[in-house]
Amino acid sequence: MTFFLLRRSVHGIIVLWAVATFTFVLLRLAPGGPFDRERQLPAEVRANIEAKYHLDEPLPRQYFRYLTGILRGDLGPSYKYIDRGVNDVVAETLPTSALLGVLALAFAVLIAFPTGILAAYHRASAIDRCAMFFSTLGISVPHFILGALLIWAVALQLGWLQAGRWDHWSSVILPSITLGAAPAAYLAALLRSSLIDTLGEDFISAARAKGLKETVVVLKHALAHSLIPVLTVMGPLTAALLTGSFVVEYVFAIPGMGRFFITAVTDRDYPLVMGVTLVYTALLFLANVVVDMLYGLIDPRVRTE
Amino acid sequence: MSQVKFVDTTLRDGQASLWAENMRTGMMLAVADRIDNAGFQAIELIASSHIKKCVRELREDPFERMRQVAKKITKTPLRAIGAERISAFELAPDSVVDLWFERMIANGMRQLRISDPANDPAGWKKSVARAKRVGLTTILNQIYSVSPKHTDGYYARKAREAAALKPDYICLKDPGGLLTPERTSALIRVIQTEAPGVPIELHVHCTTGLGPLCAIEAIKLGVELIDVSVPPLANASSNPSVFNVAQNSRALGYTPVIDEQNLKSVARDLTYFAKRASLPIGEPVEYDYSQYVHQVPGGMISNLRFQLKNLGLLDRLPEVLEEAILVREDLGYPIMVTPFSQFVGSQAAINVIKGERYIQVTDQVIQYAAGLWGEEAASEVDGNVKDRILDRPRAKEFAGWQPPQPSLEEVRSKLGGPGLGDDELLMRYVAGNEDVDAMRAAGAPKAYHDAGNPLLTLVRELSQRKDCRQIHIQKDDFSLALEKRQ
Repeated sequence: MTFFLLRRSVHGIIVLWAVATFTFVLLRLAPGGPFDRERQLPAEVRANIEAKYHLDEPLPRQYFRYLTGILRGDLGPSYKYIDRGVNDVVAETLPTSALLGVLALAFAVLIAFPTGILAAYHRASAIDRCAMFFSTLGISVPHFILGALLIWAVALQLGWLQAGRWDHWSSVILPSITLGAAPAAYLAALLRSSLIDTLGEDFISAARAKGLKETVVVLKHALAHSLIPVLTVMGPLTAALLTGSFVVEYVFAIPGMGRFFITAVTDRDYPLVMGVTLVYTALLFLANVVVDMLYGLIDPRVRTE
Repeated sequence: MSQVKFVDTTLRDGQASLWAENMRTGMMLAVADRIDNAGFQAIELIASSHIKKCVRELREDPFERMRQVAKKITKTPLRAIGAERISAFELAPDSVVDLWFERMIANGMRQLRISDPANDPAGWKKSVARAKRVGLTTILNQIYSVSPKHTDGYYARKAREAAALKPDYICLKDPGGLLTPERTSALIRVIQTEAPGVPIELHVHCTTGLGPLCAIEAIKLGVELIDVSVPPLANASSNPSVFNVAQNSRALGYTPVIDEQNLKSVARDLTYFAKRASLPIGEPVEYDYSQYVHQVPGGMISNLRFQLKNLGLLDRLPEVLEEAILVREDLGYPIMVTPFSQFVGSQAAINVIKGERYIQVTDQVIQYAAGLWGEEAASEVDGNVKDRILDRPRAKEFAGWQPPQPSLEEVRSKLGGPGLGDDELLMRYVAGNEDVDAMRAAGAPKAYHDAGNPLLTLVRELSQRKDCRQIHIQKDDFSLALEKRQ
């Protein structure tokens, strides 16, 4: 296990360096600059601002400054949110996005597992068709449509829950459902498909022949075997949910990281884009490491490898 | 021997405190080069409040003022005063505040003395970051006040918070002229201890007559910069006189870095302008303890006097100042500095004029009680008064309200379209289109000539008149005849 973690850590560092370098180069190649706007800045002001952010230095020196900053844990200043550094923006917004992501993930898992298992077990029945209809619907309907519909129906018409912001327990439910709906639908469809395959395997027939209860056959033997593709998807899915969704955060006026990421791109806020990308990469990498470890727990063959 | 260095406030706080910001651009231009040559470390010129005043009342372009003065003052750094609020009484969007900071640099300002009316580090942080971003030298105000909450411990904490932002200077600012030599000494020691290595500037007013004494105390403690003004815009509710502080520091064995001779002609010309325009002459005042009670700053008193006079209610000024004491207490002892002093002063005037307290409340006081000008400030408002202020339909409109954040493009489009210049945008944002148009229609600002050669000035001005061809002047034995020949 130690060797595995060490090896993955080295991989992680290489991946982070590659992403940092790629993002740095890509942003510099993109047309426009961070201080371009509808009217040109006076030359003196532009020169002062560029000197303040070291943008007047040669690119290799900027790159070196950026990398040494990352090593010190300093993601640099934000060009747009001038009184805050990227570390501040991430520290302020990541917890909100992460909580939204955790709640959305919990919703997705709670909906996907029962739906996928029932649909697979009752294959080609009305339950299966109904589950797959809602699964297709969940995957197809965009966040902004579902969010707007939920706000209209649940918050405005029924008045049961708060429509926006992130300051009360009743304000977190609708965005969590909106963000978790598509993953729930996708995971349900994936689990159904995987479970159907597993239920046709010989070892399942053998288990049934031994006289085991159907619940034990499905939930213990078949389900564990069917989880590998689901877990594979859940790694990047978890990272994506944790780092936020711009659309959902925008629709529900949630002060999360997704909103900052998108506006940072349009504002050419280089340090913020690079910082958020690195955080996203790190989370994605961590989620994949956790998934790899979970493979080992679920499947002894992987543990042996 | 130690040197004493000065910052000139004549063109900014001097005229704000004594002339209610009624100094004309022409008056500034007439004396600018001599102030520039006097050896000041900085010259304060502009505050965001000048924009509205210049456009609406003086009908002069404040940005043209900055540019013209910057052409004359080339040796000494020009300084602006302000922070996040380009319009002192409105919460401006970030895009507009960013533009204001950029235009300061573009129009010749090199330094910014930053104030937050509540000494709130969140407000400081944003302003220091904005100023450093565009290349302005930063001077961070620690605003002095007298109240149960403004203790040495409070100022020690504020000094630590200020030093953490790495400003170029920390300025102990006393807008109400309330500092005594003892408190000056104590607070400067506090700042020196809590913000080691950060140079200190002292900005005091002479409202209680103690300003020059406080300046001496600061000099003894090694304060790096002293803010002074040139008479007749020194003393009274303004800053100490440069002549007085220089003379006293010399008597104490220090070397004042200032050319007083050069400034004597400035004082003479400003006195001449004051007499011509019926503007007050600053004189040293006797010690006035009542200032400690109402704490209304000099600029605010001159504005209140000006406005009450326009309403024919000048005799009720003492009553308004008394009411200001109670309003300040109700609002949890805000520091009596712009805009809070105006919140308190305006509300006090309304209470007095209406005859019943808080029957009518300004939007700014509602916003203050609702926390839009700082949560800490709102939490200290008296509970009963807060309920009374917020229990009205207008207050409900502010519940959960946040100032909108339009982009610069949207603001420009709203105020005149893509062709609108940056300075024009800021003027129209602060003063409104109608007043900017009226200012443009008023034409170029009047030129003022120095008082050194009155006869020459008379001839020069007469020769520019187009409505007469012959002028004959007779006084006793003196006779002068002028005739246009073409």
